[in-house]
Amino acid sequence: MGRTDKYKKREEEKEVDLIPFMNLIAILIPALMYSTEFVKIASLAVSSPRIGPSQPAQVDKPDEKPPLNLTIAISSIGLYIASANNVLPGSEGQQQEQAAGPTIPKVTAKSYSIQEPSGKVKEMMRVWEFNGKTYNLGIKPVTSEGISQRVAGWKAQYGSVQIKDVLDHNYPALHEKLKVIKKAFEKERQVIISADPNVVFESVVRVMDATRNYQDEESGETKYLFPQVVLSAGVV
Amino acid sequence: MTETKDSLAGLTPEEIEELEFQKKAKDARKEKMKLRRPGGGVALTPTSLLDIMTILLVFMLKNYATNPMNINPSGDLRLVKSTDVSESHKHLVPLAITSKHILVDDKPVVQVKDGKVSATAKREGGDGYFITPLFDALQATAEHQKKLAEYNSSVKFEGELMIVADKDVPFRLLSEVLYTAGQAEFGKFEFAVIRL
Repeated sequence: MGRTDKYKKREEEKEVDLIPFMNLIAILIPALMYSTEFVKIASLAVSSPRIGPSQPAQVDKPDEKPPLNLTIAISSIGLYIASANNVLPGSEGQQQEQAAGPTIPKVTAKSYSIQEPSGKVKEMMRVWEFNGKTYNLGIKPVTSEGISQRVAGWKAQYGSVQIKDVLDHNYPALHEKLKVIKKAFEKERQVIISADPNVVFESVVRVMDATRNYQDEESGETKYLFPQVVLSAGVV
Repeated sequence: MTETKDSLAGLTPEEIEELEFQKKAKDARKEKMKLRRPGGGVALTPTSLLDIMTILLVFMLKNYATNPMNINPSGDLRLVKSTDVSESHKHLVPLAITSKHILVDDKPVVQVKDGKVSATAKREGGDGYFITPLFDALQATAEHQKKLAEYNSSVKFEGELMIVADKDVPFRLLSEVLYTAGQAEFGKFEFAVIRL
């Protein structure tokens, strides 16, 4: 009892000096704020075509199908899908017609934009409709509730939301078509993407998104479509 | 005093002593406070502030950039959003193509106007693919990386670049940049996108 009393008395007299600790925190917070990432950056691997002999693996197996060399060309009127060595599924007998127009012509997508306080109009979302489903960012499925929820949020923040019809590439259709091609050429992983000079970078990324993965309908697993992208500067 | 006596009824002498000591200590502390602030302001209680700071600190540590790349999107550099992509963990030299400049490692190298590099900056003129100042900058970077690899075995020159492009960069400019990078021994690229 006596000992604890003494201890208590000593405690009573002491006052914790918090100032050094506060200094430390005050320095740490700006330092951490500086290095905090508020946007998550990811990266898409791309390679440019190699100049040189073709890979030996393809030469050694003569019984295999020749490489697909699947090429997607982005033009101002639509997407062209072609293969140098194979006839793609779904395009037999259509060669004549396809020579005239793109494989997947452009479609109208809905563009949702807002006006920033500075007066600048900024597009917030673009929505595609394909086969009765709606997609955001080219191939990401969205529900109509999800869209209206977002629109309500923007309305609350910016006042009004303008909805416009814009002509854009039909990425959902590309995605579906690539799934069919993948079924016929299961081992293929490479796709060559090329574009017209004035096609914007965003379209290239959208096409890369559509060619990367797909959700298997039976198992629900995410499977590779054609994840190896080779960017070619060739103009069709 | 009588009041205190009343409320103290039924306590042992030790407990009374303890209470009296506590009271004295409190008074002494008050005196000390008064001495410290001659103006007699309100005593500052740092505890709540400290709580806020601690919570903020934990939050910041949690959000701490594990990504070695530090990319700051701005008005000239609006990144593209993308779905289903993995976060990058490599540290690569960033090559940014904004609507006004091409930057290597955050240093502006060439000006961009209306999605084009001026013909004078290209080796073959307007139709050419080779952007001379960009090539020089990339070659210097490649040399630097190779030199580092010579002395440090954990560093390897793999010829990879992080392309940070504005969403409205035309494909023509992009292919010019990729071609030039290819000439400077950079053959693999990663496109930086915002992960959703």
